[in-house]
Amino acid sequence: MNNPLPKFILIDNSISDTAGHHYQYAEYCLKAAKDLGYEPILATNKNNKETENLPWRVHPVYTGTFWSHDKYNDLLVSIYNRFEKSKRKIVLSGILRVLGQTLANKLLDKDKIEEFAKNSQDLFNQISLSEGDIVFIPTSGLVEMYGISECAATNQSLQKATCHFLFRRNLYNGSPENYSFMYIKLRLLKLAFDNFLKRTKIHAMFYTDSDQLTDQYDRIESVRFHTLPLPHTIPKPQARKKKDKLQITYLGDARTEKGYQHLPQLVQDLWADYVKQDKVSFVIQSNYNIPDGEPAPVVAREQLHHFPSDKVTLIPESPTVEEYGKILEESDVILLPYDKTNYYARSSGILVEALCHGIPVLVPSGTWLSRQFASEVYKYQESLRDGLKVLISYDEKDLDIIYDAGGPKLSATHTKLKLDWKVKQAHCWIRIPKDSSFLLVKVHFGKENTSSALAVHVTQLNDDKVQLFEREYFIEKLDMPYATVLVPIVPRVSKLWIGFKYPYTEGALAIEKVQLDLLQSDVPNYNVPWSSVGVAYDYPDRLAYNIKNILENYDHYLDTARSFADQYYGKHNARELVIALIEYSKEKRAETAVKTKP
Amino acid sequence: MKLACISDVQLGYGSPQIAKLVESLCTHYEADGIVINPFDGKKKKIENISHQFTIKDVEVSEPYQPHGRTEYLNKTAKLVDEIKPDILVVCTTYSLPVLFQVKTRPKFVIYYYLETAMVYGNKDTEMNKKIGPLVDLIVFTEENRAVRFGEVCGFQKIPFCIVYNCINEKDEDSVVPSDKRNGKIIYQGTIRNDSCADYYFDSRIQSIPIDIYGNIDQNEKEFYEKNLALLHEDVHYKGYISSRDLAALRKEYIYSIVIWKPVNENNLYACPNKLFESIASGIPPITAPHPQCKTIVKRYSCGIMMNDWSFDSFIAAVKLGQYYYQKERDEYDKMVQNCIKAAREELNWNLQMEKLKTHLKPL
Repeated sequence: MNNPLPKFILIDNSISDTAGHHYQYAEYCLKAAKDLGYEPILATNKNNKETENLPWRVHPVYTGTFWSHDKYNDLLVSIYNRFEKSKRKIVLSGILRVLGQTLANKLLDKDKIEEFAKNSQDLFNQISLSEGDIVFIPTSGLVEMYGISECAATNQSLQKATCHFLFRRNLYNGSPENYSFMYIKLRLLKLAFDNFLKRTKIHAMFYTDSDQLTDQYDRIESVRFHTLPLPHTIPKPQARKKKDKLQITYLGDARTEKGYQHLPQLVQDLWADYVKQDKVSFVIQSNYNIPDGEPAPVVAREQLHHFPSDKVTLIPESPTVEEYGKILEESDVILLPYDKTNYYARSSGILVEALCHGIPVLVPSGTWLSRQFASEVYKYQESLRDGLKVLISYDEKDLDIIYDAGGPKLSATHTKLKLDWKVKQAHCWIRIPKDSSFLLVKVHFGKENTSSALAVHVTQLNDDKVQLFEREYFIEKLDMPYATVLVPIVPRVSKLWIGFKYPYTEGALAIEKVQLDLLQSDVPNYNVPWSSVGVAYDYPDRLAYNIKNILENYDHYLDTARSFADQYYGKHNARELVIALIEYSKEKRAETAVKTKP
Repeated sequence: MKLACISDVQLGYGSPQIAKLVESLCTHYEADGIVINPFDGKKKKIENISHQFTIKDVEVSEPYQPHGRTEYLNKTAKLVDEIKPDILVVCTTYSLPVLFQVKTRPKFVIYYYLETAMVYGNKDTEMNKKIGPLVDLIVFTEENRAVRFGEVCGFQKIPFCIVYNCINEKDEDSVVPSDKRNGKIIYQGTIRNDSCADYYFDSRIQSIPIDIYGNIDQNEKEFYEKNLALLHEDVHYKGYISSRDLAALRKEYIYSIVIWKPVNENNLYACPNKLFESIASGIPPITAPHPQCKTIVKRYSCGIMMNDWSFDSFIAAVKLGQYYYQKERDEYDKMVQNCIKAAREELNWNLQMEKLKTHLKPL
């Protein structure tokens, strides 16, 4: 008799049908689990009627949805908001020590936990679990964690499986430099997680889907989090047909945090030279995430309606999975004008799908999105030293760097450009040769950096010291020794003021080396691709300015995006996710075995 | 078909788009139009504003004091009840209470949102939250103002559109060539602190030829009358002239200044007539980074943007403008051409009205 297959049970109480991203996510994971020798089982919301003729068993047992109980107690949120930057933190710290457990319990919605536990009991009464079985909850919060744990208190078979909780919501917005202001929430979460660990009988593993989110959750200092890949991807199509008219696509809800409100301006900015001339068209998903829509997207949708529908197609309802796939196939550029603060750490499934498809993208800098291909951009920009003519190079030994607090000049005897707590800015001037097309800035970050980003401000002046152009550029340190920024030079510029600024409130930065190259191109600088795979823009009012570079150099962006796609798909696919869960399960078992050894 | 419009200002002085809107609606609906406006006797009546509507002056001694406003609205509500218009246009929150007073609701009511409701205070803001059953269409003039209305008052399922404060573009031939212009910069508008009028007194700007036109705000009269009288170099105060006369003079200038201190939402989200009037006349604006101004200037490269609202930014932008006119004439001429292009392709009243017309139903 064959041994029964180990079970892979995916629980998502937000799934009410087989349309939508939640089901799609589950589908990819379950298929991969099946391919890896597991019996896939799906547990959904009770409202789901689609339980037959699917490649897996479906148990519609859950009554709530994730979104309906992902709310912390409002009182606690208001308390921590008030004390966030207060000097009374020390007093509050004392209060937390005494009342922390009580307050932490208030973070938990007891009714919802009980409901989730009961629903889980219904599920596991129908499924008998064994060692080696995996229970995966891809949209987790405290309710799901405590719910499964409470269920396991009375369901011994659940104690045999490993339970994997994936957290996808920010704990904070913005960058790590601002996290210290939000410590109250962390303290309460630590109490909640520590409490969980004390009481639970399950083998629990914890995950996020981005390294920056993992960093956020690890700051709870209770359980260890790991980063999982995103699974809902397919390899890129074999070839793309060359098209005369490029389709620029926005996919996802019409939501403020996704930047929908920037689209009318972008369309109008491109209207005369691109849209009206049938060089591009827009396809814009335009369903709201809440019944009447958020005000900014509502206003934007009204404006978009006035463009001819053959040039700007609005999709008023959430597309089915098939429709979504078709739109993606036909897209030539994917727009993701997301809010930088919200997406510093959060992942984007749409971005991952676009990158795996080999479609060039437009994303905000300093976000999880830009980080996905930033190293390709830095390598490409550096390669321009070989592709274009280098007119002149400066490094930090050649530069007269001045600290902007009026401090000392950094002369040739110093080789480190250090911006510290008191001095957060430094600058230098350089003369540039006539006919310079680009400034390439290459920065090596020092090892002792407390942070990982730099703002480079470039002001371009002519012989009469008139300021012709200025911009600020944002670069991040990745797992590479350097970072770059490419600055197009406008005509008649002879001098540059270059400022190096630490972009956040707290923390310090040290730059080990700086290299400035002035490059010359035979063609106008907008006919030289500035980036690779996609473009990361710094401010939303520069969407058109940046997307034009993609449109004018589309072959390059398409080639580099397609080239990147294979490597990226190798990291982000369902098989890799399930393998990760399996490996972590083994790790957990081994850890438990050591602890329980006599 | 009868159309009535309740204006919050005396026609001919500010808000020229009220007249434009009424004309356009009268044409669309083939309606007889009447504009009701407050008249305090302090400003001369401007004749022959339009042949498409008549003006009914409602005499009120202090229309912008609370008692004056109440008096105006009471009289206006009675007038509306007498006229029984099919279409009613209500301009700004100032005039909105009439909707709650009239006995019969007209078939089609348009709320012309020329100012942010919130600047009127809490009671008027609360009133704006209750207009759902009373209004058929809201016309906003700026996107962020529309968003803020949605955030504070809720859209209340009322259809709306965004119509910029444009005028119809002039013939290209009426644009004065750059070598025939007077080399000066114009500021037109009320002289008061929040229009950065104090910037013109700074010593660093006195050698730049700037002509200032406009009424002095009564609340700041003493300060401004004294300081404007002291100007003796190249910055000059020219007093107040009518919009019509100003339109004729304006085209001689090389730039037009557009700036308000962002002291409230109305100022921050400015959607100024003079921006569009200047562009239509082929005069590049020098503008502070109000969102709508910034979008337009960047889109068409038809003017000079200040980095922020500071004096340093202001003078840098003014000097850059002078530099282009004096030393890089080609660049200046490009800006002028871009103004003409902008007016032709997007920033003209006819094109803006097309957006509104999609919401106009047969009556």
